[in-house]
Amino acid sequence: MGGLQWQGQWDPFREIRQEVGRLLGNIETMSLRVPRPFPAINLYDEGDRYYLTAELPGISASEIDLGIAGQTVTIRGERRRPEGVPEETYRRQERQFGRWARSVTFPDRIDSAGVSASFARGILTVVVPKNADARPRQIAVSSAE
Amino acid sequence: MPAPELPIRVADGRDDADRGDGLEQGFPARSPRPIRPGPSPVFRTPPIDIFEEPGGLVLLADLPGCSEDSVSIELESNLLTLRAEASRPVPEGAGPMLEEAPPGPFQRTFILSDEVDRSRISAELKHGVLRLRLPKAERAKPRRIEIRGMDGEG
Repeated sequence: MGGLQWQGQWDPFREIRQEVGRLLGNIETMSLRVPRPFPAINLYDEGDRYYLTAELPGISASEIDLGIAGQTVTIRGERRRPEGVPEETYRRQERQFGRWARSVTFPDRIDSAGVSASFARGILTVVVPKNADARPRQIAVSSAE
Repeated sequence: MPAPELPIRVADGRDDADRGDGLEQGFPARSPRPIRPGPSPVFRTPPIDIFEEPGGLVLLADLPGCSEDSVSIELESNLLTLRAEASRPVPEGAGPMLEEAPPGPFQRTFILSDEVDRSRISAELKHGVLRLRLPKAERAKPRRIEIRGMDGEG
């Protein structure tokens, strides 16, 4: 399982990838040669909620399992090759298939009952509300005079 | 039986990785390394599969987040260029914490041989996967020539 944890925005691997890619002149060429986690995940913070998006082209919504345990959201499923295509007729195979699973542990407590998910154009979008205690707050400072 | 010639070549700067997989076959010797991506990596390269059907080739490209309107397929001489733009599925105000899928547009170029019937290339997009059909030109299909028996006529 491609477990994923982070403490803040710094992604050391992204920096390394970018540096190596810059040296060789092309990041994307690199990323195709290096095994990539599947599905690719993006994470966004919108103050009182997180957004988790996963690229799952060619999969239907019913083939995705979404689970929550504590502060961890796990998605899993199986991506199958197109049916009726004999193996020997393939001339090139770059797309990844098979069983997949990824989990994301959020740095703040999440409101698991409020999690919702949608799926369109091969992208899963999970909206993860932060627990009320974890949302950013402005506390007014009152004058004691 | 020798592998049939493949009338498409993937030409996106990955030539070194392509050696020895048979994809070089069936192409005219001109332009051995025609396309190099620019120095700055602006585009994402979509992963593809190519398989053969009786009538030609099928190319499947992963284009997650793309709609029909955002995909363009351009054919200029023997170069087929695929471009697509994915729409961002989250609000503008949400700050990225991790982006394994960078936000740039997709682009990839292929070289077609004369064996592809360019007038009949078709494409459809479903669940973020583009299916490009590259039919074989009529003259490139194997033909059976009948031999009539002349016995009894002379």
